[in-house]
Parts: sequence; structure tokens; C-alpha cells
Amino acid sequence: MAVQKVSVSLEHELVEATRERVGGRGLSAYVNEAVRRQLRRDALVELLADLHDEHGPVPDNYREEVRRLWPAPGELAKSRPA
Amino acid sequence: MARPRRTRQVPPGVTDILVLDADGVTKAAAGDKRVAAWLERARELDADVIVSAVTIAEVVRGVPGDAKVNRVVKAADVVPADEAMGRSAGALLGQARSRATIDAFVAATASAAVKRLSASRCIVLSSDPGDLRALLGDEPAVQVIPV
Repeated sequence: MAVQKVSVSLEHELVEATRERVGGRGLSAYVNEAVRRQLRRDALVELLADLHDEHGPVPDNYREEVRRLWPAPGELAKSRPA
Repeated sequence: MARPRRTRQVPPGVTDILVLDADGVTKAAAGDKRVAAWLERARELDADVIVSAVTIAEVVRGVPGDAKVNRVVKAADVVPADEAMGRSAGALLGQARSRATIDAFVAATASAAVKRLSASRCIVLSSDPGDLRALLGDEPAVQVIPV
């Protein structure tokens, strides 16, 4: 993947915490991965908004079914997926 | 300078994964409400949406009509189909005595993502749940859901 050197200003605490986690040489890789993840998140939010506009809302019963099959981690003990 | 304490960038077990196969992607692109419900849940749980590069070949045709599919792909982590993935897919085909190569890439991609992210839960949306389940064997973290 072609890389480009850019100048960005990061908060001091964020740089320190990242260095502590990944070491000095892993900083760029860590920031790349974080930005990539955020772009995907933003794209997912946009996709869901577009689908909502074009096709209307997801019916509640579909939503409830998915919630049951894919509970939040804290709810896992109560209702494990089959 | 502090030494790196670890190289893993995601804490174990906190990342959930949603894998879409070709039908998952095309149905999402077409506004299928069941698939949209899964994508909404992925958003709520901050799960990673994952697609195999092999799936891309199934869903794009290199024409402007790809736009709707591209909108879905953009929200996903597209995992390359490299030699290592090819070998994993081949091993799954061998174990399951299957010839479903494309499904094997989807299964190998799901399996590799579980290991890479130390994910505790991975959901695969597929129109071929039987084939995929056979390929995945007893991979306990992976749940295959028909769409």
C-alpha cells in the first residue's frame, strides 16, 4: 500500500498512550488501523441512513429477532445463541 | 522509551464479527430488511463487518451499476484472498470433502478473523448455511445464519 507522510497534530496524552501500547515504531500502523476502522464505521452509518431513506425502517420484529440471536455481551449469560 | 507491552491492538473477546457472503452483500445493497437488521446490530455492537475478496468478484461487474454494492463494501473490511487464505480454504475443503471453493474462502476468512481479532462471536450471513456450516466444522465461535 502506498503511503504518504502527512502532518497531523495529536494530543500529547494520546501519543504517549499509543507508544506505551505499541512502541514507537508501531505508531503509524496503529493510527492507520484506527482511521481505517473509523472510515468503515462512518460508511456503515451512511449505508444504514441511505437504506432507511430508500426502503424505510427495519421492522421491529426483525430487529428483535436479531437482538435475540446476537445479544450484547452483557446479556450473553441470560440468552445464549443456539 | 517504554517497551511495547504487547502487539495485539484489540483486547481479547470484545470484538464481534459479521461476515457477509455474496448474497449478504447483494441483499444489503438491495435494501433487504433482514440483512439491514443485522447491519444495524453490527453498528450497535460496534462489530467489524467483514467480506472476503473472493466475494467481491461475485458481487461487482465493473459497471456503474456496482454503486449500490460498493456502498456496502465500503462499510466492510475486505480480507485479501492470498496464499495463506487459499491454503486455509483448501484445508477446509479437504476436511469437509467439499468442492465449494467460494464458500471455503468465506469460511476461512471468518475463521481467520476470529483468530486475528480474538473475537468471541462471529456471525456469517449466507444463502448457503448448510455448506458453510460443514466447512466450518466445529468452529464454536462462528454462527451461520440463513438470509
